[in-house]
Amino acid sequence: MKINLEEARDQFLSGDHQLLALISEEYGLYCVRYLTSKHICSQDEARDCFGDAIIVVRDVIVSQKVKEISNVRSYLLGICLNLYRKGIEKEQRKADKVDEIRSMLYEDNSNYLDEVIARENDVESNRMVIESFRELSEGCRSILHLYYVDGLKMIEIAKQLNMASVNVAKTTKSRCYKKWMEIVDKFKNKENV
Amino acid sequence: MSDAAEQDLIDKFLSNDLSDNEQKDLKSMLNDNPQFLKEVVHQGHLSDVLKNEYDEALKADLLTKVPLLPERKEKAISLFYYAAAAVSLIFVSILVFALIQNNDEKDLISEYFEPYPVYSVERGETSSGIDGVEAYESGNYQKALDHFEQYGNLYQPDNRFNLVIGSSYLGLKQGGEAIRWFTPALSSDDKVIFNVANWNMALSEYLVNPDLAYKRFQSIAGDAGPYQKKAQAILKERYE
Repeated sequence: MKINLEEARDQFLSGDHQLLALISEEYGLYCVRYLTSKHICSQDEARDCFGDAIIVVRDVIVSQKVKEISNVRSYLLGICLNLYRKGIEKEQRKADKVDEIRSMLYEDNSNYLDEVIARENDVESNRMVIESFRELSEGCRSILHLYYVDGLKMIEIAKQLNMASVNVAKTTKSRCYKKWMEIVDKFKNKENV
Repeated sequence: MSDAAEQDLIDKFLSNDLSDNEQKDLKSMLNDNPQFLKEVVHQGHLSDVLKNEYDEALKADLLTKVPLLPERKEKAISLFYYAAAAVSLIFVSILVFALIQNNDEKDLISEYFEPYPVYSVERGETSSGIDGVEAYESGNYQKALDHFEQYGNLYQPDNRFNLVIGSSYLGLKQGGEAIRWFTPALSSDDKVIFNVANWNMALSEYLVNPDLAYKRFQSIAGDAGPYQKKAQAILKERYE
């Protein structure tokens, strides 16, 4: 299987994941078999590892960190093995962004930041964030998805959504963000009542 | 700084696009302005929550495309043991035969195996890494592997690391283990690493089963790479 990375990136950004489904069908069993036979690893763990690996493939293509994938099967298996060896946990991944910010700060701010992090990692609050996101219009969800999930720059978002200029994209994103936070607040008030 | 300028800074931070000066600005803003700090943490967190939710849903959907490995049933297991006993007998016979033939394979490795010689020691690496390289370069592969094991616990393995470990196993004539380490190194974008890993992979496959290596030697012989002539020679000597 040969992947055209530019086409794949466009597909992923438009929410089309047929290619990933095809890769999963073609190489999923191979990777799971390899992991279960070469390591002391259950089938569930191997499947979970493969699932994480395919997300990594999507992310590196979207972020254009890879220029060519000459052998998809070897590439995927390599990622599976690295993920397995590193023993990456989901919780670790979730905390990455916050840790990144923490590392940028001086130590005397750490107490305050710990409070912020504790509040932000509240499971209930995370649920509200997701539920309120689903309440947004499709247009808002698209722009916020490209920004928060795909990590695109504003100029790329403007291009992807055929907007007239970067400023239009910025204004739209800002409006959608405010709307989103209003819904989050509504959810919070409802919970408090 | 205006609200729009602050948001610009956050945008660039989230899309990993800060210049050195902007990074300094961000640091000083984070220290001087608690409200800004709160907003950065908040938006970073939103990004993590949304991405995690999206990834998990996509992952669950994609995993439905991967068939489950067949479960082992008891009957199958008892049959499996009978079959295994029979296969073991055959295997022992083959092993005895292979031991007689083995010198042939060892000669091939001695003749064509080239340890990858460019594992540079960068400033700050631990003594495990340095000792490992020294042992590796002097051909003491078992000692090198012991050091690399400690090194691997401290640092994230990369393709160079996979390649050197694989080469150490190949140096010890442990083809199966070597294949395990060369497999991820084959995904390297670095042409040198890829070529060496591919060549050593072919030699490892030859150690395990010469038929397994045939296709790879053919492919190397067909490419105008550094190992083309050697692959052509092996194909002529061993497969014709």
